Amino acid sequence: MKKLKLSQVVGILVLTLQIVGITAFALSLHTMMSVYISAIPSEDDVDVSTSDPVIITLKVNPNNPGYLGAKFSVNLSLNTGEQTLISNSSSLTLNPKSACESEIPLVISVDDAEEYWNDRDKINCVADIRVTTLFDLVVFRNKITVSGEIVDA
Amino acid sequence: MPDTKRSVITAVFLFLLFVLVPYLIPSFLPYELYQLFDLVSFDIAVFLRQVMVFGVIISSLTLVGGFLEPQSIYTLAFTLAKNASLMIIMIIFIGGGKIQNMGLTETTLNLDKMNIWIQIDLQVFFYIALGILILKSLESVLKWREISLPVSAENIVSNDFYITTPIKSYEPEDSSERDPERLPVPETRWELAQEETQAAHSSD
Repeated sequence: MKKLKLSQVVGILVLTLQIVGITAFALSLHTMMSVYISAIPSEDDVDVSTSDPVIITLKVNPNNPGYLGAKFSVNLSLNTGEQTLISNSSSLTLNPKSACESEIPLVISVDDAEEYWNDRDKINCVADIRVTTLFDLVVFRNKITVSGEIVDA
Repeated sequence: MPDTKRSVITAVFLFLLFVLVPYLIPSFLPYELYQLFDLVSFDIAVFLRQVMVFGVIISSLTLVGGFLEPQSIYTLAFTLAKNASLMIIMIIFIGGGKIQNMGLTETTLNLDKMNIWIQIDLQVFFYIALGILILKSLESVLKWREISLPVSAENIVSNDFYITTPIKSYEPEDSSERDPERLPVPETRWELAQEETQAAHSSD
């Protein structure tokens, strides 16, 4: 068997690293964007219950059609810019070729809900969505801040 | 011998890929995409210009390097510069046109009452590209050393006899495997001296 030179060994290592890098890049981008796009809620996914207490529920249904595992987390909050009034979060682990469902409720007392409604111009609704893949090395974050209205992303 | 034909073909291919294609892309993009780029504050013209500049550098280095002798130190310098330029182009693509961010891209979109902030962290691929650059540079240096060294361990037949002109390989052969048409190689300097003396006498 012919002995390989050191330059040939390094060349094989370079080629392997290039193939692994390009494959990991393509797979992680595909997984990341697929999970994010599938998780974007529509108007039907936001449910407001006007009972006592008031419950605003956001439903998310992330789907992972990729070949890498992914973690999906969403943080929903109401704040005034300086102070967080109320917040809740949910975190899901998605295996390859799997889907999950989650609901994030924001529970507000009737008195607070009336106060927030009167000051709705000063209140921001923030949805912070985070998708990670490739052993949490690749991260996609999307923070949507809506002033004066319930988030409708 | 310099590999001129291969370097010309490679230089033309790199020019087409990294200069001509980015130059033609803007004329094929829909107007809505330009509006989207404006919304997310992404300057597509600057991005493509960066790619074209490094594309010109890479294709020039490839073209000129093909006319140099492989064992020249300038060939090594050109190869290292070409590897670095290729990696910079990869980093430009990973970072969305901002090399200084090293793969971390952020953008903000402001609408009427909505603010959208997007962050994409691809720094791991920046470090992979850096590792590839270091290994490719090491490979280039090792290959250049193998080509440029005049005498190597392969050329040594025995402790007493050194061949000054480089040969590809030589392995001591058994007499049973020796090609009868091949002239026997002297094993020692004494035998070489004897052969030279005999040749001198026969010419007299």
